[in-house]
Amino acid sequence: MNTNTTASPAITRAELDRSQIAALQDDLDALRRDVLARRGAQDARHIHRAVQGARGAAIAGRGLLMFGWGPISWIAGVMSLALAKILENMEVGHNVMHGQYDWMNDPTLNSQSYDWDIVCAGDHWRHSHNVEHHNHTNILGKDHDYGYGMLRLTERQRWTPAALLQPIWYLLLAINFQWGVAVHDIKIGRFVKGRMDRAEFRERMRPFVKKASRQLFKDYVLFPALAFWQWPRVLLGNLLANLIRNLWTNAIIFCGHFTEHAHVFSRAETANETRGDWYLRQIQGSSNLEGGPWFHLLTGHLSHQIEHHLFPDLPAPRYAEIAPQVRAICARYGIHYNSGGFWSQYAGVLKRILVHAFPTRPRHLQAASENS
Amino acid sequence: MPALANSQAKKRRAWYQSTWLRPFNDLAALDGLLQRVQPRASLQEIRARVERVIDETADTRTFVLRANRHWPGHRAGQHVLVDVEVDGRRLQRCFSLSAAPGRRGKLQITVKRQRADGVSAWMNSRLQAGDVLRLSAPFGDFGCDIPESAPLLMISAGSGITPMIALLETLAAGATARDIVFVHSCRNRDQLILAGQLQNAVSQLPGLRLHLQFSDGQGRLDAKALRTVVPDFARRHTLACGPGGFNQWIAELYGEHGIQHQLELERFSAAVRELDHNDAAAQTVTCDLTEQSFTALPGQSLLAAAESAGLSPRHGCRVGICRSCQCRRISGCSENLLTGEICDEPDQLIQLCISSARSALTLEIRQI
Repeated sequence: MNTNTTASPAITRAELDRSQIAALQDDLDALRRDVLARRGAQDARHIHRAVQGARGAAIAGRGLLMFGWGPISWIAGVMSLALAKILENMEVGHNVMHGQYDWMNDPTLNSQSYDWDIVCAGDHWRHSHNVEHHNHTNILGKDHDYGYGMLRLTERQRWTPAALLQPIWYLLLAINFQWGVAVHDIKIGRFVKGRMDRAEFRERMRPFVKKASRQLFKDYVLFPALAFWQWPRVLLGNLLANLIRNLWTNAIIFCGHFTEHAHVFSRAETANETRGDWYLRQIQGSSNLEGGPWFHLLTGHLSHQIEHHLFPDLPAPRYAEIAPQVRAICARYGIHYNSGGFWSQYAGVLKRILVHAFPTRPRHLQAASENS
Repeated sequence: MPALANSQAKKRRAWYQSTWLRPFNDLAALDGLLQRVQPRASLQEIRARVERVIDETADTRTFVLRANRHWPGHRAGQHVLVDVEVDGRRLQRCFSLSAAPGRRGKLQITVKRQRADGVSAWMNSRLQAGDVLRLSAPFGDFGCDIPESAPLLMISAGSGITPMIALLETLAAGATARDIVFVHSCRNRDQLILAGQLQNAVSQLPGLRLHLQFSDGQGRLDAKALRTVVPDFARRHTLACGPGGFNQWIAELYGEHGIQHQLELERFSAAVRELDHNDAAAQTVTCDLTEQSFTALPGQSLLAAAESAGLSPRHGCRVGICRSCQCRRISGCSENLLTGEICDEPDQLIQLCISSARSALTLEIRQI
């Protein structure tokens, strides 16, 4: 069984001494300052165009579904609506909620007030994603995005027989990804295990129920009803568009941290981190996807996951711009810059899900048993 | 306008504003669509198109604007917050309306390029006819309740002439023969802005006496000069608008004569109160939310101090009007630079642009 899915972080960390970590920190800080100095009208134009593009695609898609006839217009409508949802969720929603465009002082693009076209409530996302995931990236037990509490992705997680079923869990999660994201910050597991009282649980459920019911009403009641006798077309079309968005965002997001060479970290390893250590962990815990400008746009520039994790609040199109410099900095310090095509990276993710469904053991234990 | 919308955020929603009806009642999205057809159109905002740009002097321009139907109309003497996008960033500044209310949403502002102010510089160099701006509703009560028949004295300096022109035009439209003295001071004749409008108003006001003081040849306008030019100033209802030092000597003069109630002052530049620097020291200001801290010099506005330390607090007009920069002072003692009021009560709202630190402060600064 191949257990080469996680390089030992202790080894790669040991390669850089304190002065190198400090120098890495200075280099990356300088890169960030450089982008901040250039940030301006170009970035504002980009986000305005992305917002307009998402709106245009939504109007076209919903229009085709409601007023079109025949299968071709239905398929075109579904694709257009899926495109709208992907653009709105990935390039606009995710990035705006990171505060990438707060400097524009535009109340409609403010990280604290923006809400997106997905069942996940904005405030839940701001906590689970911005606070927990981006700070504690790939730290087992602290980054709840690592395996989403249901998948075993490294031999350093405890194996239970339930893990054998994880390929099926994964398939279900991918199909219903927006729901997975939506309930993530409620921490239902804690409630089930009796570690959260009923009052807190109800309080945590409230924003989710409110947001989800509005989304369901919009996609499965309001728009179908407005189409009168065409309602089945609209209802099915909306369902399929949501499904396409779910599968796509799931694939992209899983490629961000669960690829073959993405590292995991323990609490102990990250106890006394400096910002330089933090930068290093972000690079080692993330992985990039290669593709053209349209591909990057449709991933919300999460194809540049490494750059995004280093600088989560820089306007996303800047990630593509600074990627060569980040790669050069990595090369200078001998840090592996994890990048590849979509299919090869995604294959690595699927392999990880399959491999760790079975009881894998940490590498040093395995090496010991092979020697004996 | 974000600054003004904040105070209304908690209002109860009408049924058609319900989030259940999204996206049909998403005003920002609908505005986006409308503005593709007509850039000035909006369902909620006051937007105005620049109709004409007039060069007044080398560094001052007048913009004639036509607002959409949300503009409620203004009274002479009022000002407006203008919201422009400079390098992708939306910024707000306050300007006096420099003409009497026009027909069908016509209004104008006159902008002098100020050093160290990106907005006025941008408006002077980049804003063209055809561009669209966001505006606040007009506000302010300068010159709004002049006593019916009292003789008037209007004094302005530099770009302080802007509300005066609007007031004179309104008086002229009322065809009054009222006794008015208008004293204006600027560097020289080339620096006289809005000269055409001034001339028109003068020709329609038989009771108006105009005195222009060009400081290059005639010296600065001060209390002594005013006494000579307008010996009977004490019996006149007075409107004054100018930079900080100008306002200060007028306030002192009227204070000496005990006729402050006859004086209406309009400030347009940030506070310049003279502080007693001897007992003052630089203070440390801590932001409660981000745990950043910076040093504020005595008499320096907290906004300027935060900005020079690399922070970017949310702000608007910078002169204590719009309250965009308002934040909670959790602890410490601060001074209001406009009123001189010193307050150390905890949990008070202060405006960063017109407050300075009198002790170490902890603030809840909201950043952009």
